[in-house]
Amino acid sequence: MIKKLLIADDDPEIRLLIKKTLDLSDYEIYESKNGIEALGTVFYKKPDVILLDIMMPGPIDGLEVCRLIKSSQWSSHIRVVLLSALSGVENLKAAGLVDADAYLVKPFQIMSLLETLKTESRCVNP
Amino acid sequence: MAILVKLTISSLHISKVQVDKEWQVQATKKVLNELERTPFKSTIQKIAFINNFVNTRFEYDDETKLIIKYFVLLSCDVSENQLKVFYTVNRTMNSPHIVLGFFLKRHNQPVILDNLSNETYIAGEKRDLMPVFSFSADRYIKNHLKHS
Repeated sequence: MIKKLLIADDDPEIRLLIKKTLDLSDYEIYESKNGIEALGTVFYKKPDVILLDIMMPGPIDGLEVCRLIKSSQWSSHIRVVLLSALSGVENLKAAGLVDADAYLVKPFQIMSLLETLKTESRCVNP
Repeated sequence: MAILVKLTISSLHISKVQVDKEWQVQATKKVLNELERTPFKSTIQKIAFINNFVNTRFEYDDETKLIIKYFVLLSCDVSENQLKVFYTVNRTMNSPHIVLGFFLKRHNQPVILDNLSNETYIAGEKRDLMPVFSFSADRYIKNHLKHS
C-alpha cells in the first residue's frame, strides 16, 4: 500500500536526496520548507509518516510541529521521525518530550533512513 | 504587482489573491469605514459584524478572509496575542477548515470568526467544528506574507 510521506526540511538538497533515495512507487511524497507549511500539509494531506527537521527557520520549529501533531487526537497516530544535526542527550530528551517516534542524526546513512522508514511505515494503520 | 492588486480589489471576484501591504491597507480600510458608521453595544457585537461583513462582502478564499479579519482586528486595538489560528475539521462536510479565534480579555474560550458562518459563537458552542491545531495568528500571518 502506498504511504503518504511528508519531508519537512528547509534544505532543498536534503529533500532531494531523500526523494532520490526512496522508491517512489512506495510513497506519495509531499514537501515543506518550514514549520507552518508542514502543519498546513499535515492538515490538508494527512500524511502517514513525516520526516521532520528540528531546526527549521520561521516561527515554529520541528519540535513544536511534532508537539502539535502528537497532542492532537486527529493527528497523534501520524508517525514522526525527527531529523537533526545535533545528537546530544538534550536533543534526544527534547524529541522524547514531544513524543517523536524516531530520531535520525544528520548526516544519516541511506540504510538507516530506509530502515527507519520501513519500521515506521509498518506501524501505520492500514 | 500594484496594478494586479488594484484590479483584484476593484473587482472583488478573485478567489485567490497575493497579499501585500497596499492590498491589506485597502481591504482593512473598507471594513473600518463601515465600522465607523455602525454603533455597537458590545465588543462581541462588533466582532460579529466584522465576521459577517468580511464573509459577505469579499469573495476570497478561507486564508485571505482570515487575513483581512486579522488586520481589521489589529486596527481595532486588538493585541496580537489575543488572536489565534485554528485548523479545524468541519464535521458536516468532513473537510479541513481554517478559522480565526479572538480571545476576549479574561475569557478562556475564544470567539470564533468563521468564514462559513455569519453567526459568531464562542469555541465551546461551535459544535460544527472539531479543533485540530492552533497557534498564534501572528506566526501564521508572518509566514503567509513572507511566502506570498
